[in-house]
Amino acid sequence: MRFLKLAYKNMFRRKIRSTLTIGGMTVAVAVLTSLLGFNRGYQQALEGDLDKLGYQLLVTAKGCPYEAATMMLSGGADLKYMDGEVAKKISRDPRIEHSLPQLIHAVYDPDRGEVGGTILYLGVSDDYLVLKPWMTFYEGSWFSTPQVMEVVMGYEVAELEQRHVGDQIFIPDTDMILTVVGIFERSGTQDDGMIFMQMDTLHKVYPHLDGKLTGLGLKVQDFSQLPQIEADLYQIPNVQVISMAQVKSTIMGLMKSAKILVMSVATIALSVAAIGVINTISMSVFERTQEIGILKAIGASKLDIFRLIWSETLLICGLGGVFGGLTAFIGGRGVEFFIRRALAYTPKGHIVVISWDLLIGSIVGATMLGVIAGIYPAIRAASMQPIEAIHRGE
Amino acid sequence: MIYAKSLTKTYHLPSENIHALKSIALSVKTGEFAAIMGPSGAGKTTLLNLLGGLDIPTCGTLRLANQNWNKRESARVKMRRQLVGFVFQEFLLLPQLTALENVMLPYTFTKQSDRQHAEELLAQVGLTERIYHRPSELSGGEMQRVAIARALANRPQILLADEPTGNLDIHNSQLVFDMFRTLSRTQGLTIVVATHNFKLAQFADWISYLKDGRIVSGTRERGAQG
Repeated sequence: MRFLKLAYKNMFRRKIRSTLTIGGMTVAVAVLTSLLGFNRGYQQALEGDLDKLGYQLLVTAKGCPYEAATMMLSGGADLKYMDGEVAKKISRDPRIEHSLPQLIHAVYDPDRGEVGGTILYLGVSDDYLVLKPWMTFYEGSWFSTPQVMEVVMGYEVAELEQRHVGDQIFIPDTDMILTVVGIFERSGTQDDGMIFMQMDTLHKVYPHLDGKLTGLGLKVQDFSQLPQIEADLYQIPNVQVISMAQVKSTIMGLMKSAKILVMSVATIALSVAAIGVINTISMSVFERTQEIGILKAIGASKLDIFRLIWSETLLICGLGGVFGGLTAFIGGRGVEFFIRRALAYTPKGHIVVISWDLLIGSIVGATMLGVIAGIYPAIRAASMQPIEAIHRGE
Repeated sequence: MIYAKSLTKTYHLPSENIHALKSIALSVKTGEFAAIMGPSGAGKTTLLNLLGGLDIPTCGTLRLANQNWNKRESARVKMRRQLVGFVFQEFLLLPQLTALENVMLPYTFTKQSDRQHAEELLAQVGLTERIYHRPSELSGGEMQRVAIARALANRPQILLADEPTGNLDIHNSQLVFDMFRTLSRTQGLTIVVATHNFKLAQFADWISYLKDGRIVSGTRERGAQG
């Protein structure tokens, strides 16, 4: 019989105790793995969202940068507006390759769904498709002319409202009816929930917004000129400039603070689990004093006893690591569901990503914890004198 | 096979020194079956522990199989693996293992593994039908026979048994001592048994009497049942 088999059989002499200890380790590893998966997934999803914006700089009216960042990612009502003339002036800068004026208007529609809902209209120019070449059509095509009374719908909003090309939609609070000429394929971005109009059309539908913009997206000719362009734009009164790197670092900064807090909790959970393992194995060693004595009497050396007790600890922690990793892997979508409900903004795509390397890392990490946790009880068992151990157990 | 001279064991306690063995002289030839008798506290267990390398003598000479006794832990481990087999009053079987696994337990700590030999030993002690039974499913006599088979698993030259029948009825006790005698006669195994049962000690080739840590008398005449 080899060490591992003997260690396995020893472990299940006290089934409930061993199961509870493995359970504690499982919970700790599952929490830690889910958190690490969330951290990685959120960052990847956020980067994906920002990359799909299609521009590197966003110019908005001066206000709170966090509000601006949120607006940029999710849209929103009661926004501050910038002057359209300023936007035109910026767009004429030769260092700008493309500019995308945007006007977001949110309207509450009491007839939407069962309890009503907000419709987001986004006024854009033809440059939209230049800056976002990955946006393809599920049905129909782009607007025929700049001032036409037509809309293009994002995939999700079209699906929600059961619209198809050729359908007509009524704009709440107005007497306007527009025709659907295109529906985008699902992009996995916030654009899936938008109803697009040409900028002139949106101004015509909502005349009080004429000459106003909520933002101007800029794609620069030369990426190395970005810091200089950003500095120059700051000289323009009443506008603020948000670079994608800035948005990313702002959100990741907030995430980092939350991560430190949550990682601290996870570390405490792991420490408690490790102490539980040490306690379980120490109790097991104490109860099996006589058995350890007899093992020495039949030829086990100090190193053999150390290896045996250590193997038991490694098995408990290793199994806890495997079950914890699998729990996080299987329960990842559930964790994602709760996080999405708890956070105000979450990027599109999977925000909890339990990859194979993370899964293997968790199992290896838990086993390494077992390596450390097993040292004390293993040394204690190995240092017993055979004759004392045999008689102490009687 | 076993040669001890002036073998002494003193336990140094904070309040007093306890002289468990006082200058013991003992010689057991290869294939002999010796019984050590004496009242409780006479030093029988201490003597067996010293002979088997489980404990360290305070002073004296001890030779086993023409090898000088060595104080080093590694040498004593080697002695327990290769030279000596132990049988205790408490059977000390591992409850989670079957009879066969208990007999094969010594192989966990050596490079050899001989399932066939373990099965033969269990057959030799009359437990062929019980090899997959756990200790909780065996009687006291059967458990002690498993313990004897385990002690023989590494093919030792010396078998040391400390009150092996202390927890057995008279029938099983006689069975065990008869088994010891057979092993010494047929396989040339050197056996030293500590017992306080004079009738059972008669199975041995000779008997030594221990009292207060000293051998007070001994006989080389075969016991009455020999």
